[in-house]
Amino acid sequence: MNNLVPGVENIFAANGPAIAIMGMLIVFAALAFISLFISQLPKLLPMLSNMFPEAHHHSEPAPSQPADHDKVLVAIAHALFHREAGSLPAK
Amino acid sequence: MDIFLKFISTTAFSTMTMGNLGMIVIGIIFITLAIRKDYEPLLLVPIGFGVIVGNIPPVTGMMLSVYDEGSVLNMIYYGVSQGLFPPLIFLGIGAMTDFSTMLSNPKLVLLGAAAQIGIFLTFVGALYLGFTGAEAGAIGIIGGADGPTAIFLSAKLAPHLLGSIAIAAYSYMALVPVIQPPIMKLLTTREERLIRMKAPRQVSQREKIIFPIAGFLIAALIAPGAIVLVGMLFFGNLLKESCVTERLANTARNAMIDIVTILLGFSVGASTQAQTFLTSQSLLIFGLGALSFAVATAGGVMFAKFMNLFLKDKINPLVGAAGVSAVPDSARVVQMVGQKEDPHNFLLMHAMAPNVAGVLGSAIAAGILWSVLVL
Repeated sequence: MNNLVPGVENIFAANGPAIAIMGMLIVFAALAFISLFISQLPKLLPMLSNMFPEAHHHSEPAPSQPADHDKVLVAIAHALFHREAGSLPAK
Repeated sequence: MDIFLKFISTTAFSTMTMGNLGMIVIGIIFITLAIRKDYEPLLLVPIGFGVIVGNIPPVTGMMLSVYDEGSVLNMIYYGVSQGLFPPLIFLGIGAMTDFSTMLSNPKLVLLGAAAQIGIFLTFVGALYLGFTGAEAGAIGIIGGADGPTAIFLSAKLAPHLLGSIAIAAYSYMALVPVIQPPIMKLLTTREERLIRMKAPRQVSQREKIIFPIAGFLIAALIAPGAIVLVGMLFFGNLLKESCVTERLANTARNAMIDIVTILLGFSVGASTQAQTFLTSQSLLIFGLGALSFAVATAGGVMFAKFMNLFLKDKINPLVGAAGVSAVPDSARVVQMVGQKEDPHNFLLMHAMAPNVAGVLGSAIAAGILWSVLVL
């Protein structure tokens, strides 16, 4: 274990101020660029939408067609008819 | 009788030191704090038990400790010493992070940048005390309030200080609700604490998909040293937001991060043997760690006040404290302190923006310190 000897000269010997200032500036620059990009993104999105139109989400079900609704009604009516006519067991 | 005496000499009782006993007590304290007070239990329980395991004195000739090449603990510790585990944790963090609060109010990202002043001022403070450049960089990153980042950078720059730095970082992260409020109240007026912020806008799914890709490119091109941490963070986030890799995102934020957390916490705890941990340097590291959190909190709050000089829609300066990237604890502290002044002021969602920006900022700062201090 090295023995620690405090002193202001240690800071300048290791280029402390330069590294600290440069480091903060780079962190700020990176996050400022990201912040700027985010703020401009809503304006860029309409341009992207023209090139790449929105597709249906993979996890969303496809919207049902009107004909499906009619087919369901026909099936229910068919089942009710047969139950009334006695060919299907009542629950 | 000789065999019996030989057996006695191989037990740990014969080689146990007061330092080992002290560390075992510290491990028990960590576990107690985790279970009784609910202080970061997912970290303090593995770390606390690892400390106990690591301070059972090893037997000569048997490969048992973390530092014995080829031992089981050594193999687990490989993921820490080689910097494998922290990027995997960042993958899981990315898969559970919602950047929409940041996307809806991009100026709050700058508060996450401002809070990283804690890292660099602590770096200077460590240099003043006589630590080498690499050691000071590893100590400074405690101010980033990010455990995986602290472990990653310590493993690269100062592996001999990894145990002290990791314990300091995680301890102070657990103490965020104690450290931050007095500083936040000291640096703000009541009027400022009562500021209500405009509700964040809705963010589209496209923005959430584009952001991790663009954000990574910007961060990595400016600070290439941050490629590993920032890359894994944004990769995890893309897995989540793309909606086509939900099972991968689910694994990353659940099973994978839990496995890595267990191995990382346990092996870091086991590495804190009394001989390497109980030194005057460790005490200094703990002191510098407390200072780094305080400076980071102050930096975020003061920068928010500075920004308010130029803004029509004012920021509540308390939100600046959430730039300390202890997610989501520091955001919750902002909420709690804000609600003490006005119970109907909900700052949590606003505070999440600088909170997640702070994760990014501390990862970039780590990349900068690594590239400057190792080359």
